[in-house]
Amino acid sequence: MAFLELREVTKRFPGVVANDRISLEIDRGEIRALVGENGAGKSTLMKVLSGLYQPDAGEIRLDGRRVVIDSPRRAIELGIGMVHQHFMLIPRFTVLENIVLGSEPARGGLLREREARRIVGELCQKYEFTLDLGARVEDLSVGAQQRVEILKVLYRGAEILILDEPTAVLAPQEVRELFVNLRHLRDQGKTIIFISHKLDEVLEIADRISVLRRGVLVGTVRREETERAALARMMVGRPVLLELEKGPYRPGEDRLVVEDLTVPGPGGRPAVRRVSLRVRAGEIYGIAGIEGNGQSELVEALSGLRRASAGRILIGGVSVTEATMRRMRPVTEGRVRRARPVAEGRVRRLRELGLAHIPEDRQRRGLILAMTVWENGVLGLHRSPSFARRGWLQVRPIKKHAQSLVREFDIRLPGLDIPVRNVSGGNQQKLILARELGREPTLIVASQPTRGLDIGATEFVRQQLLRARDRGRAVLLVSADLEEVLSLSDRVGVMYGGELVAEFRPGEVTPEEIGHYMLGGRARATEAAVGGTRGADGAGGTGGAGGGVGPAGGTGGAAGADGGVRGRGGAGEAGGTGGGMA
Amino acid sequence: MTWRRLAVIGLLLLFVVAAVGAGCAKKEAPAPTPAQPAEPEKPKALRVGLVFDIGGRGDLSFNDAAYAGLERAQKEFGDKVETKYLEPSAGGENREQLLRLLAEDKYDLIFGVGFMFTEHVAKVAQEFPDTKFGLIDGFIDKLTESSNISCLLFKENEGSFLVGAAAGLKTKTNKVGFVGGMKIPLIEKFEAGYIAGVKYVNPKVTVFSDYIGTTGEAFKDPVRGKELALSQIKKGADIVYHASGASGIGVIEACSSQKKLVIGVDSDQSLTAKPEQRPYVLTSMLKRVDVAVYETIKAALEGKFQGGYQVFGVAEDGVGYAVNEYNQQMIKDIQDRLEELKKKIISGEIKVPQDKKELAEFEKALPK
Amino acid sequence: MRKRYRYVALELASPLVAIAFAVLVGAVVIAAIGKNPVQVYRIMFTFAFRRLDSVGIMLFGATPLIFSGLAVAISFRAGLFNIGVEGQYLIGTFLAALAGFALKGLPSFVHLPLVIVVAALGGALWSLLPIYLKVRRGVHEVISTIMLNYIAFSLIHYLIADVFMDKQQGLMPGVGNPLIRLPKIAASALMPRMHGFLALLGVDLPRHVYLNWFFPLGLLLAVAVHYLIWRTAFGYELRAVGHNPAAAEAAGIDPAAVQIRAFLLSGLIAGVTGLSDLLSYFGYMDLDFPKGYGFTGIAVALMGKNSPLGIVLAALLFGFLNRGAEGVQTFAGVPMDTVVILQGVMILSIVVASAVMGRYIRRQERKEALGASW
Repeated sequence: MAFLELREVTKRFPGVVANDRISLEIDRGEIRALVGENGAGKSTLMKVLSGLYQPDAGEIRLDGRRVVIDSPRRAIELGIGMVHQHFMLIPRFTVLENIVLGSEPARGGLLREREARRIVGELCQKYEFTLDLGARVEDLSVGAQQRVEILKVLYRGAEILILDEPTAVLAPQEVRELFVNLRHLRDQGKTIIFISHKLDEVLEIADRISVLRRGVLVGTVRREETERAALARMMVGRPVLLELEKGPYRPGEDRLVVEDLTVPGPGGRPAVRRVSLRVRAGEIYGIAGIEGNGQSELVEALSGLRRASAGRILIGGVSVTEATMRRMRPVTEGRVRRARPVAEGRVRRLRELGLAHIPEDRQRRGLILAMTVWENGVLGLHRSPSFARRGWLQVRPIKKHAQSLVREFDIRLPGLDIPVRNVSGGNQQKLILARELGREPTLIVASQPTRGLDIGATEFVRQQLLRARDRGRAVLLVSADLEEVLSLSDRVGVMYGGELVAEFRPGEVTPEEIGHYMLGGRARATEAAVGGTRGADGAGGTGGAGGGVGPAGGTGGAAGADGGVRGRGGAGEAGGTGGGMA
Repeated sequence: MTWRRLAVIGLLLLFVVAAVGAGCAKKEAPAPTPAQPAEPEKPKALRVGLVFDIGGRGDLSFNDAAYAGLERAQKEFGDKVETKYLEPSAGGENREQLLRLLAEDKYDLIFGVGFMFTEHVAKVAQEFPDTKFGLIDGFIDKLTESSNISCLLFKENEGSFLVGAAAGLKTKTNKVGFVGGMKIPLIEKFEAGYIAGVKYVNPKVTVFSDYIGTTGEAFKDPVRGKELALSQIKKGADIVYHASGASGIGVIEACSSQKKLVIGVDSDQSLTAKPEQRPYVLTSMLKRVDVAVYETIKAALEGKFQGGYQVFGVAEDGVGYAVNEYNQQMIKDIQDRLEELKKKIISGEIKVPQDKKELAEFEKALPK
Repeated sequence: MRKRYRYVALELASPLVAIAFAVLVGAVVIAAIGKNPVQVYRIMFTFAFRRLDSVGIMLFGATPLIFSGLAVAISFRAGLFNIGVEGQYLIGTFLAALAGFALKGLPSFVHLPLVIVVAALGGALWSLLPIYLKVRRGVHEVISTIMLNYIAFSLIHYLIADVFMDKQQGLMPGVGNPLIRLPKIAASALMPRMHGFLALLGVDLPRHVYLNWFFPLGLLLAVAVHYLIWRTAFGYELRAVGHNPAAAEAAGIDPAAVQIRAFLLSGLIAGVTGLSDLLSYFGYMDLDFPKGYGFTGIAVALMGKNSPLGIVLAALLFGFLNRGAEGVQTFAGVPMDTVVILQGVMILSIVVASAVMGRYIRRQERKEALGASW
């Protein structure tokens, strides 16, 4: 008999059936993956399980008995614990304090720390969690923080753990470690519900996989009995192209050259340190790295939204740094509130040089949600002669333009007159893409372009970026999704701590090694990176020669590693041999 | 957004239709007959209307004094008069319309309380030559006895002189205070008379002078009034005189809480003060707006209404100091002296200054 | 979309429902003071709409609010909260009055426009400092404009009472109080009233109605602002910056530059607010010049949802409430305090009811839009 059973659970919201008669049977000691696109109803279902929502119909049975979960507290009493995607920890508290917070073993109001430490210590031992209980949470890596969250749930006696997109924030190594922990938990009899849309991970960790689509359970399959394409088809409801079409790599001249760029972060400390890179026509340069390692600041500096404190940026051979450095100060944080001089037209000048920017936070930087679709279609182009004459907006051409964007990029809308706020996330991103790519730019800076999108939209966005590359545009792609960077890019750089710590061609390096760089494996790369840049500047050929050795050897010495990491430009020019070597 | 615009236009149309409809309706019935509950009207009752200044009733001083006059007339003449009072909006921009509405409604005698009504009374009086108007504190040029306007004017400086003398005689610290409302010539007249009175009887006294503000708000800001009075007391003042309308409520509160004396203004503020504050109200500068209003109504009733200027000074008993059951004991010892000063003012021996310039001359002429 | 007709109906009904709700709440207040609500309302409406002078007075009363409401709305649209319309219009009015009496012998077609321009520049002048502090120093405009309001009050008081006061007012020695006012404005700077024009249309407006050409000017300005906001590139940038400065900036719009222009424009319009009263009612500026148009303008902009046509309607509503209040006070014997409460309750319930309706409509729209994209 199933340990946890959902019978015909239905949850309706006004106008939408989020869960339509969903029945699930989950065994004790099982890892069950729940997959589906955004809006498929995964989160709603889990909120029903954790007591945040009440189902409109259907019942939940636990261990054969019918239960009513009318509050999160009740869920915990029943042994159902939720590990949230966004951690709910107090940074200044220690690991132990965070774990026991809210249900401290106490006598007479005094926290009995020793006993708490003993209980938590035993839990760690039992499930083989490595954690320093005395460390402050703010000093921990993301992966360790996640372990704290899981322990918190276990400490409260959870038998069923729900993990909501737990790998979204982790590096490959950390994902591996998480999976080890999850398997231990399973082997000790815990039941795990794992929500994800990354099919590879699901296929690795889950025992059975349930697929939701538009609120309906499409089916449940055993891991051994399925494979990626089949799962993707179940999720989307039609065959999905998982392999992207990519033309031959024929890089042209340098479109973007960044030299020794240093950019201050929000606190004034450098967030980007002496980064050098170049992006050429007809290539996609991907920047990988765990979020918060300076990628955002780099992109802001490149798009004119943040001032660099040192170094140079050339777009199409024109130095834009003087302009940026002299006239820009840190600007918009939220609303316009920072002090700054009036500097009309910085961003506009960059855009005139052919820069297109697909911002990482599309709702904050990319669109004006309260304005209509047609108005957003010309955001940034509204002063161009075809859309404004003597200061008057040419409404008809603008609407026509929007119409053509909507048609070409297959944006699905009830009309052009609705505010963008009312458009789904995927279609919002498509609109931005349509607008920015429609300008025929020479350089595209795309930051987290598929974040939060469902499979269909993701596929579309990636295809568009590749198409732009094939048509000779230069693309700088920043993404926290390593798989995305590796599958799209012609060359890849890894950022850690504000520095570009490694650079290579996809396929040259194993994911483990990339993970090593993402987690700050500087010992093998940093020094070399600097030297490598110089070399690449002069004659890329020599670096390329070393490139083959580094990744192949895997453990090659410092010189070999940095050579391999840095020399790829040369290798590429030599005719794409880098890929062949790996 | 088209439908939103449609909605707006629709509403605008509605408004226009209503306006046009009103215009047509007007033509059909030319005489404006305001909706009035049918009331068996006694013939020949004198209809008296009064428009307060901003703030209206309840300021315990100027407006209330005017109301007291109206009330007294109503009580004394009973059925022979019919009274009504109105209050302008907070910005005061409809003073003129209110006067006009009363005139249209066939009120026989209409008062504008305060000099702010000056221009408005002049205008409306011209439109309604058969209606009589009383203007308190305001001055309109070139009126004659047969005009339909009577300006009711007060010599506030003379009354202030008397209470100033009371303060000068009563102070033990040789420091007294003055709190004015808005800094305008009218209030400076109070100040000049007061200082002159203080110095006349006791040249050693220092007078602290403060004003509450620069807008009409200054006459209804008791909090600020209290603050200013407290700071004067802190500097050593043991008697404070206020000419600040409803702000004076705060001045009275400050003084009574610090067990210092206070001098009220306009009406007898011993009577309106809270019982526990009464022992600290030395006296009040009476500006008999109530008398002026009452007398004007009485004259109109008797058919003796006179246009032009009615001046109320010490001689006419239009200004003075208050004596009542609460302060009798307090001022008994100085009352003779005050009466003597009063006579000197009436006889012209003392010419009370009415502004800063005259005050300076007055002080120079004082025997050292 | 077929359903759109439903929204048109709802949108049309929204203010009507709001007003009905306000009337209902007002009735409770009236009943609470022991008057008959039906009778009071009847007096209010017949007084306001069945008298020609009342209609004119309502329009006259709405005139300054159209200007101040538009001024507030423009700043709102750019994401700024101009609380300083109050001070801006007082400064504008003062400078206009100064130009009105100091310049003599100019022909009217020069003098009057000049005075209007001076008023507008005065308003802009008073909005210069807050926006400068905002974009250069990060000082929130609400704080700085409130402070500048106080400075304006005191400065105006000083300038009128101590520097420019008209000393020529005939007074009897020893008695009477002069009006604390500037000298009277030259006839060449006064704004003509609309009586002559309306007479041509067969409307015979009573003499004591001060309705003047600033009213149609205000309507024109509303139309102009409407086109500025919705049909020009600058208006586009204004709205973009107002809704989302970060996205505007990323698109190459300079938020600071747009906000500076918007705020100065707001000040220009604010500066003209007091002229209808100054140039066709008082003819001079005194210390008692009507205050509060700036603050009421905020309420007008809110009720009008920052749309110029909505603002005109809201201003008319205020005109009606004020005129109706006079009638209620005079003919229904409702005391002023109650009338003020009644006005407040009505404004509040209109704001609340239209917000509720608006939210409902938007939710329906959103649902429909999302439904369609699936």
